Amino acid sequence: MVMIFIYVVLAVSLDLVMGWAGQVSFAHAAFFGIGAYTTAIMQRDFGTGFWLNLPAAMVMAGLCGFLLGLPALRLRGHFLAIVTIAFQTIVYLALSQWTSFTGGQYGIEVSSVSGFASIERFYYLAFGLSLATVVVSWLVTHSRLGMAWQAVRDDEVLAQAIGLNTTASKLAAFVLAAAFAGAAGVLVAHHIRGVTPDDFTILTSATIVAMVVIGGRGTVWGPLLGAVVFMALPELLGAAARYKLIIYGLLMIVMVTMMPQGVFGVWARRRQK
Amino acid sequence: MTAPLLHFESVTQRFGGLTALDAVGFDVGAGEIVGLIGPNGSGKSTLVNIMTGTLTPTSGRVLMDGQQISGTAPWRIARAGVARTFQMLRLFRTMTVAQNIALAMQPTMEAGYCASMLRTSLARREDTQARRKAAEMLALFELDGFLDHPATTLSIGQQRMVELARGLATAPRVFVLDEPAAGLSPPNVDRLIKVLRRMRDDYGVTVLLVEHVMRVVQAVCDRVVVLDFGEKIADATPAVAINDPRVVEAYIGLGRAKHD
Repeated sequence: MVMIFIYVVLAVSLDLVMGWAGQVSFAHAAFFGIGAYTTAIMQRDFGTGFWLNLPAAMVMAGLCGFLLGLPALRLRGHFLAIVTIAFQTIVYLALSQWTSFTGGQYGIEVSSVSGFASIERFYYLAFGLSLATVVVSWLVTHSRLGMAWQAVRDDEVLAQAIGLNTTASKLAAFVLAAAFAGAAGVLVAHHIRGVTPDDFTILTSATIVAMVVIGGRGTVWGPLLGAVVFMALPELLGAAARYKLIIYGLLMIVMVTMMPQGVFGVWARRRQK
Repeated sequence: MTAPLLHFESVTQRFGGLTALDAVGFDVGAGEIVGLIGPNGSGKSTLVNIMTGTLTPTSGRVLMDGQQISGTAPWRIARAGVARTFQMLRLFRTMTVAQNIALAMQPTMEAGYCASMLRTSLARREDTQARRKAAEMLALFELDGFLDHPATTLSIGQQRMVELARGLATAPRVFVLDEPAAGLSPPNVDRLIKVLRRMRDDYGVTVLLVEHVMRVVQAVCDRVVVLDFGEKIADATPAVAINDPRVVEAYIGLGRAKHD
């Protein structure tokens, strides 16, 4: 259950970039990892606890989102996708190879959150964070910033012509999404009591993208649904779970060609009529 | 005449070996409707793109109220009070008519993104005002009742009017229109002429109008600037300009000009 909440945070926040601002990003797991490693390294080196590490990791991931955003936002479509993949790869290599700082492939051990050590109580913590993500995302996307993102997504040239600083609003999307991913990273580090680089690979990024696309881009509720379904799927598949990547892949191809608005997008449109 | 609102100072634009604009200079006074005409490929759109920041001129500059605007970002020029429409229809596809118009007013609002997110009273009041303004604009363009329609469900002529409403709602100082009459039916052209006159007379907007439909140019323009192969060949009232031998030559060819 905790992992479902963590992926809800990841999918809903990635949707800010992909669904609302219309930018492709295959680097979400990198920010997830940066958040996780920030809390692990802070705890190891300074002995700080969860409540200090959480904001620190969000700032750290947000800062990295800003750094990725600066060069990336001059690019569009496929080129942007390639740059985010490169960023994701760099972060993974840093996590796995910089042994003295990150512990390399063995990673770093992380202790549980004091007061939330039992799984039941940690569950509420994870629930609280995913709730906060959904609420903030809903507020932002239904504000002027959300409108500005949609403007960038629909027609960037026109958005500039009516006086919107499109670079700033795209950067805001990247930073906000990265900060939430960082928070999810803190949560996962304390949940599984450790961090290893293989939890934050491009496959993780692709899975989050799939959750967003299949759930429905630009809807807040769609990615939430996508995350829940994706995390529950392996349980439901039972013995077929070992083929889950193949099933995800097929599902993705079918969805993109048959209903690019995603499950929630289709449902919302039906209801409007 | 007092200092002009817009001052084009020997604007030159080269694309590789091609000179799209060659030292074009003219002024536009506040409250004027100035037509920008010329055959295809004469440099009209290039000039519009320089004026609105899409292109940075190779040399020369454009001043508004004595301040250089050429070479700065499109959104900064827009915030300085320059609204524009495009040759190809451009509206935000996934939004309603009201949202399209309100969004254009966003840069003129005071409440920031945080205030809007927290739904402060200032932000809410501004949003209500924007909606009222959008409704007022639609009434002006005879599109009452289309406020909450998705923008793309309107006819082409109606969408053109929404583009004009979007620009006018921001109370621009200069409105650059790139062929607003293209593809309009004759009754819609009449409506356009009426609206253009009201923009100048009731809203005090200065208009730079690129247009091929001469009926519109003759009906509304105080002055026309004629371009041919990147050079300014005339700057006069419409009546004088269309009888200028160089203009006739540019449009119809040499033989006809001599016959007249």
